[in-house]
Amino acid sequence: MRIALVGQPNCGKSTIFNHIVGYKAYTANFPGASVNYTYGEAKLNGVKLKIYDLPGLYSLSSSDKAEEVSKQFLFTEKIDLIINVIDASVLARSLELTLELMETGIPLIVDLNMIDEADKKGMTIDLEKLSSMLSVPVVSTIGTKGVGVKELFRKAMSKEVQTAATIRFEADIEQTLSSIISLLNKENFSSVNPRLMAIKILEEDEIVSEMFSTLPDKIREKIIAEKEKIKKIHDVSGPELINHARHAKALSIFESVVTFHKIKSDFRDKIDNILLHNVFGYIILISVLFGMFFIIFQVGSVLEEFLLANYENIKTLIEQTFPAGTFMYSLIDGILQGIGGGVAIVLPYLVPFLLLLSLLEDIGYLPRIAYLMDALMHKIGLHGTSIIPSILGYGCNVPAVMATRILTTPRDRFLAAVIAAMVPCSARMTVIFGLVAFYLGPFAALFIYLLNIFVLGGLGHLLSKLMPEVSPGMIMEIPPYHLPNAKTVVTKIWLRLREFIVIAWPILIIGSIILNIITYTGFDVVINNLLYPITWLLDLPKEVGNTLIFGVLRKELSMIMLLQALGTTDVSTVMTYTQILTFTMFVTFYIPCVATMGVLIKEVGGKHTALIVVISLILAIIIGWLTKIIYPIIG
Amino acid sequence: MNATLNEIPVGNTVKIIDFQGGIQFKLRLSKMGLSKGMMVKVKRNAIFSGPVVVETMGREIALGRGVAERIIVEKS
Repeated sequence: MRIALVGQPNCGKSTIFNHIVGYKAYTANFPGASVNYTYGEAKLNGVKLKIYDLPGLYSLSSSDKAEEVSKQFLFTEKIDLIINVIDASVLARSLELTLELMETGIPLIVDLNMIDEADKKGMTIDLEKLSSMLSVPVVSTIGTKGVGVKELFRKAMSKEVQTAATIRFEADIEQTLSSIISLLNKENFSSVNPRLMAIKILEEDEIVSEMFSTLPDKIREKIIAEKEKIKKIHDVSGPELINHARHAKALSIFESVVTFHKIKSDFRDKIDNILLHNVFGYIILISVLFGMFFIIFQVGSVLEEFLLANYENIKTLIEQTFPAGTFMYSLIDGILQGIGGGVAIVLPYLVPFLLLLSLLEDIGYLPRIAYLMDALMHKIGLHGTSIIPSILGYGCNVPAVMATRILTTPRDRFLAAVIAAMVPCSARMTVIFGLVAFYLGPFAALFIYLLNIFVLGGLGHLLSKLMPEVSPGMIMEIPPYHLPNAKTVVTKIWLRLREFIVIAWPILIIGSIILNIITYTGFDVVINNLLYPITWLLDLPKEVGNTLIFGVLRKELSMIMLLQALGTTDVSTVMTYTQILTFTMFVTFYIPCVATMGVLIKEVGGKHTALIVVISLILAIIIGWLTKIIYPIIG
Repeated sequence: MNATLNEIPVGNTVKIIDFQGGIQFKLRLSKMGLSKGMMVKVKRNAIFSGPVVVETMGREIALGRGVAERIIVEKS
């Protein structure tokens, strides 16, 4: 049995999914689109269930990529049953999606989730009445506590949910629909649910335009005449007509099933009054981000130190078995560095970052950051929502670039991807701290971060002038606060970590092997000569050239290789402070790493990726060169 | 009297009467429960021409200033 969980964003769908599927969940991409869904299997009463957790959808329109692919998914994947998860506290708004889902003709069960939140808001919902008005079963759950989840699935598998009911709109729209249906029936459109087809024709949905064009001209003209007639009566466009009809229906259902009782003072408003305050909001935002960095750095550096010590032990063991300088040693050392870099350098920072980020996300703080930063983001031609990928970028640019999907237009996605790819990720953080903070002091490191923000702001401003298309502006729900659920947080971290392990890690390992082979064969001399123009311009030692290539594979590798190339662990003996700062500036800004480029190609295309690479390289050279000139004067 | 949504002081409840924008704009708003005839309460107004937060049907929605400027409301 194939079950799809469908609901609006923030309805608690994933919590329900995690309860029933647990950790054995997988993420997949919809064909041809970079939109994720999660799926997994469960067994209930001896029946094997395949459960799909679709992305949060406000509606099933074709205007949004996620919505369009989800709609197609429902039809092509032969879903047996839809569990429509609804945040009970926002029932009125959610019912419109329910009506749309019922139109698909797929059997459906309604899950009023977060029923406790509705109660806190003073709402009493008559479940039986709702069930009889919709003629579908209605179950209530509290996903975060697991209350009612088993019952939901038991009910979902019962005989009651076999057929989907039909919801009737206002009389005149129904009349138009039935004349269209009878016209369609004449043509034997048997493979498609004729009522759904009629609705989608009225809605002018792209999904039926092809089928519609195959109809004989005479029938098509009659249908268009019917459509124009009703549009004229209501004085709206096609998509709005059905939208309004659903809206009215949803409101009338809502009004007859909900009664309000008195409530205690609103907890959410009180917190928002502080967190979204025009002054305190920003102070808290800065403290939260600063606190997050402090925690990540503290936890990460302790873990890194511990793990690196063990890594050194293993390395000594290898050196004893395979003499240095042999090909075997180069190969094994390469593999070890790839694995070790992932375990000892990336994971210690990535795991605490993902944990804190998941917490911020689950509590509902990210949309609030977007609210606070909206005005500032307009200065670089974007809007508040685009701050979310940039924040993710400080951990790793790969998920940051993926997160640009939340933006609506390709232009906004490109601008946000440029920024997301150039924010100093945790790998660059190790270079900034390992070299600049260590030799030049923490304020120099802080300066690099601030300079980066300043430069990216300027770059965004410039690019938005070159792409003057107006950003569509922010339209974003600010969800209620939720207590994070441990199981959801752990699952989320695991799914993201798995993405790192599967995509980024193999690249690290392969990169390390290649790098050792290059050194083994003496090819590094050729690369150093090739990169001499850059090292000469930036006044860096010639041996540094090689490390810059390695940095494209793995940003932190440029630092490790720098030590190796210079043959010392104390960089200050062979490089001046100016050179150290110039080198770090260059590494921070130049070319995104291979993994980031891979995901950029997937998200914004090859041409745009090439553009980002060129821009970042030019920027890095200019900033490196300026550092070389200016630092000796002021330093 | 008519005004645009960004001009409404915090705490007031107004009725949406029109939008200045294309069909995609209207549909994006309609998805969030903002359609003609709906009552919305202005909850917050950010500084530096930041977003306006409105509440409708139990949901809070942040609208960029440019978006709010294109929503015509009726002051009651």
